[in-house]
Amino acid sequence: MEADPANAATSSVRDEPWYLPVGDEVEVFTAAYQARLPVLLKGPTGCGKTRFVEHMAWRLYRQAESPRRATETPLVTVACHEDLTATDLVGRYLLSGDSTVWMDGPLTRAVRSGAICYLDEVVEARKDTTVVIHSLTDHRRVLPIDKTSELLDAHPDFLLVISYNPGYQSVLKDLKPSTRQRFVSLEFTYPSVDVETTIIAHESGVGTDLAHQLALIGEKVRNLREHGFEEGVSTRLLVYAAQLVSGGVDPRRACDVAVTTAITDDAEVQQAVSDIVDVLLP
Amino acid sequence: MTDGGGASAAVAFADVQQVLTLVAEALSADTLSLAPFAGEDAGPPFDGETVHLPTEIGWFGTTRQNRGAYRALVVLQAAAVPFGSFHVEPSWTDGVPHPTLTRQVFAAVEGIRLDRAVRRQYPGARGDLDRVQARALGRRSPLADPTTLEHAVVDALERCALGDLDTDERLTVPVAMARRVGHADATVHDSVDAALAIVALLRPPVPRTPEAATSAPAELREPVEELFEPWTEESTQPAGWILEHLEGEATPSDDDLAAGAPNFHGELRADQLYRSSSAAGGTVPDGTDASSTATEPGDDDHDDAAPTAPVSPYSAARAALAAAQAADRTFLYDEWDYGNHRYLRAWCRLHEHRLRGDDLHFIVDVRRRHAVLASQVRRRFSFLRPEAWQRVHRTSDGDELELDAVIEAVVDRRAGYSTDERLYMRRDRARREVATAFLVDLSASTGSPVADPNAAAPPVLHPDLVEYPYLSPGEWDERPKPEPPRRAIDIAKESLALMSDAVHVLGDRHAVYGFSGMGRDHVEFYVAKEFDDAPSPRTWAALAAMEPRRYTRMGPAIRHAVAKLHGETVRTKLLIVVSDGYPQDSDYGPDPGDKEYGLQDTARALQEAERAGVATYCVTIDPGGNDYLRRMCPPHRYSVIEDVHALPGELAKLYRSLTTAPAGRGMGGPR
Repeated sequence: MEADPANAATSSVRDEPWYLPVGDEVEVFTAAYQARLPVLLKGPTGCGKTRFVEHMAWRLYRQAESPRRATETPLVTVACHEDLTATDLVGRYLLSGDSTVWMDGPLTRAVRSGAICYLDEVVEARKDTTVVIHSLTDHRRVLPIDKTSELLDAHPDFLLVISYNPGYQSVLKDLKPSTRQRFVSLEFTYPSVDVETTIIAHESGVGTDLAHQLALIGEKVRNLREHGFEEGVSTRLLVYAAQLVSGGVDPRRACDVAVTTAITDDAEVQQAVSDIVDVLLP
Repeated sequence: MTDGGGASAAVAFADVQQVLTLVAEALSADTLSLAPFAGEDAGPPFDGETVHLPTEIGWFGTTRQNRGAYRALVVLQAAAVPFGSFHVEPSWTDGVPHPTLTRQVFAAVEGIRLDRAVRRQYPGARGDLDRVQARALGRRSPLADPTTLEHAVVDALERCALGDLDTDERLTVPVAMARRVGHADATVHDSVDAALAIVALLRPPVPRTPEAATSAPAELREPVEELFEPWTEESTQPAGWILEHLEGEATPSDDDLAAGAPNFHGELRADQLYRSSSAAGGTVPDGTDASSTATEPGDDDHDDAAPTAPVSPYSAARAALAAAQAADRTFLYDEWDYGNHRYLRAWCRLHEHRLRGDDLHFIVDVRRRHAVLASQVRRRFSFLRPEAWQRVHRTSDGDELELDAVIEAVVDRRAGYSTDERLYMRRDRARREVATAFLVDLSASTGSPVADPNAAAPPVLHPDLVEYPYLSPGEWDERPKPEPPRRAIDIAKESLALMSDAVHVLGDRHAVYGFSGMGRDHVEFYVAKEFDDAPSPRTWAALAAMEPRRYTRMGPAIRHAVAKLHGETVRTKLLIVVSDGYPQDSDYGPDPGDKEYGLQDTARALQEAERAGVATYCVTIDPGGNDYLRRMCPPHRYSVIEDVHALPGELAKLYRSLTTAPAGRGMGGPR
C-alpha cells in the first residue's frame, strides 16, 4: 500500500501559522505541554482547532528559544474517519515481494520522534483506537505494538492532542468517560462576530466591512444548524468565500459556492441560506 | 390586488413559506412560525413568535420583486427579536400617565429604530424595503381634518418609520427626538425613553407650572419651547388643527384617542411590534381591552393534575382488581427509596395493556396536517447512513491482510500465475442497528387544551345575536361545528405517528408505549406498537387510542421499557421519554407532596438504563422542565420544548441527531 491509510499529514511548521487567541488557550496549552498533559480540544468543525494546534506546534518547537528546534516534524495530524483503526495509527505489515515489511503508522512515528500527534475528530475512529490512546495518556506513556511485540516508550517531547465535537448528540459517537478524563479540555466555539471579522479579513485580505458582513452571514446561518446540516457554516468556509472575493469573484457568487452549496444539499435550506446572504451583502 | 403588476407575477404565501420560515429562524435565532392573513391591510401584530404575511403579494411587476417584498416583511418583523424589541415587558406602560398614547408613540419610535437597524445590518434588503415602504406610504389615509396634535405626531412618527422624512415643520421636534434612536447603539430602552419624552411634550403634567417645565431634562426644555410656541400662534388661525389642550382646555383621554385613531394602512404597521394582547393582559394599542378576549394559558400546565374526585379505599381496590384483570400481563419492579438509600424490592406492580382503537383515519389526518414536515423528515431520514459493521473479505484495501488470500497469492506467484491483488479484509457499514422505544407520559395533565397560535380568532358576536338564527332544526344539527381544542396528548400522538412513519422507512426497530397509573399497585403501561409490529391500520388506531389517564410514576415505566429493549439484539438501544411534567403519583414516596422522591427514583431508573446499555433521552413540554431534568437525566440527554406545537419537528430532529453518526468532517490539514 502506497497511500497512508490514516490520512496523516506531517508538518514541519517552518513559518508561524497565524492564530488569533480568543481567550487563555495559548497559556493553558503551553502549561499542559510543559507537564506533558494530553490535551482535548472540543469544538465544532472549522472553528480553528487545527490552526491552533499548528500555531502551538510552532511556538513550542520553532521559536528561537525552543530546545526542540531540531525536531524535523513537530506535528503529525491524523484526520480520523469512520474506517480508521488502531492498525492505521500504529502501523502494519505490508507485502514487499515475497516478504512482509513493517511500516510505522503516524502515531508510532510521533511517539518515536517526539512530535505532537493530533488526532482530529477522534470519535470518528473505531473503538479499538482508544486502546492505544489510553496507555499513552497516563503515567506510562507507552505505546504497545502487538504485531511486533514491542512496548514503545514515548519520546520525552511527545504529546497527544485529540479533538472532538460534542455538538453531535449522537449516542453512537461519544467519548467514554474513561477516555475523556485522561485529557485536559480546551473548549472552542465559533468566534464572536468581531473576532471572526478580524480572522476573515486577515486570512483573505478583504476589507473590514465585507469581512463583517461575512461574519454576520456565519452567525445567522449557524442558527439553521438543525436543518439538514449539523454545524452551520465554519469560519474556514467564510474565509474561503472571502478569498474568492479577493480573487475577483462577485461576493454573492463566492458565498454561493463556498457557503450555500457547501453546507447542505437540501434545496430549501440552500434557498434560505441564499436569501440570508442576499440580504446581508450590500 | 396589484399595483401595476401583472397577476402572473404574484407570489403566493405557500410558495415562500418554507424557505422564509428558515430565513426568519436564521435571522432571529429563534423558532418563528409564519402564518398567512387575508386582505390588504396589516395583519395581526408580530408577537415575537408568529410572523403574519399576506396570502399573496402581487404588488409589483416582477416575481422577484414580489418575493422580495415577502422577504422584506419577514426581515423587518423577525429583526425585532435580535434587536431586542421584546426586552421590555409588554406591561411597561401600565404605570405611566397615558398608557395608550405612550404605546402608540413607542411602537412608532421602535419602528424607526428597527427600520434603521435593519437597513444598516441588512444592506441587501434595502431595495425591497424601499419598494414595500413606498407602497405602504402611498396607501396611508390622510389625517382627518380637523385632528389632534397627538394623532398628528403619531402619524408623523409612523411615516418616519416608513422612510418618509418630509415632516411637517411644526412636528420636527418630536420626530427629531424619535429619530435619535436610529443610531447603531440604540436599544429598545432608548425607544422607551424617547416615547416617554415625546408623550411628556404632548401632555405635560397638569397644571403646567414654570417649576414643572424647568424640572424636565435640560435636553428637552428647549424643544418644548420650540414645539409649543408656533402651535400657540397657529391655534388662532383656521389651520384645521385642534389644540384645545395647549389652550388649557380639556385634554382628550386615551379612549378618545383610540376611538379617533387614524385608520393606518400598509403592511409595515409599527404596532406589529407588540406582543400578543393575551400575554400583556392589558390593553392593546387600539384601546381594546385585551383581557376580555384573551385566553390565558393555564399556569399549571406543567403540573400533573390530580383527579379531583375523591376515591374511596373500596373503589380504589375494586379499580385495582379490575385493572389487573384487564391487563394483558403484570410485572413487579423495584423502586429507589432515596431517603433510606435502598431499593424497595418488588414495590411497584405494573400492568401492561395492549391499546386498541378504532380511529382508522388518524394516520391520514396526521399526514395531511403535517404534510410538509412529514416529507421533510422522510427526506432527511433517507440521508442517514447504516451504523453497523460487516466484514467484507478479499478487498484491495482493508484493515488486515487476509491470510487465505495471501497464501493463495504466494502459491500462484511461485507457480507462475498472475495473482489476485484483493488480499485484504475490511469492515464496512452495512445496516443500521438501532432500536428505539418511545415512552409517552399519559398523565391527566396531557389532556389540557393548548392554544393554537395559527388558529383563526373566533368571531365576536353581539351577545343579543344567536348564531345561525335562520337555520331549520335539521340544518341546525348540520351546521359547521368548531374543532375541539387540541390537547398536549394530541400533539404528542401526532409526533409519534410521524416519527413511527419515518423511522419505519428508515428500517430502525421501534416501539411506542404510554404510561400512567395511580398508586404503586396500579402502574399502567400501554403498548401502542411493539418492536415486532409492522405499521398497519391497527397499529395507527392503537396509537390514536392513547388518552390522558392519571398520574406519572415514571420509574417503573422506564424500567419496563428498558426490559423490553433488553430483548432487542441490536447494537444501539435508545429510550426516548416524552413527558409534560415531573414524576408524580399519589404515593410516590412517604410524603405525597415531596417531589424529590419521584425525581430520585426516575433518575435512578435512567441510570440503570444507561448501565444496561440503553441510551436515554427525556423530552418535556413543561417550560419549567429545566429545573428538574438537569438533576434527573444524564448530561446532554434532555431537552425542554417551550412550544408544544414544535414537538413533531423537534422530535424528528432529536431522533436524527441521536441515531446518526455525524457526516465525515473535513480534513484536518492546514486551512
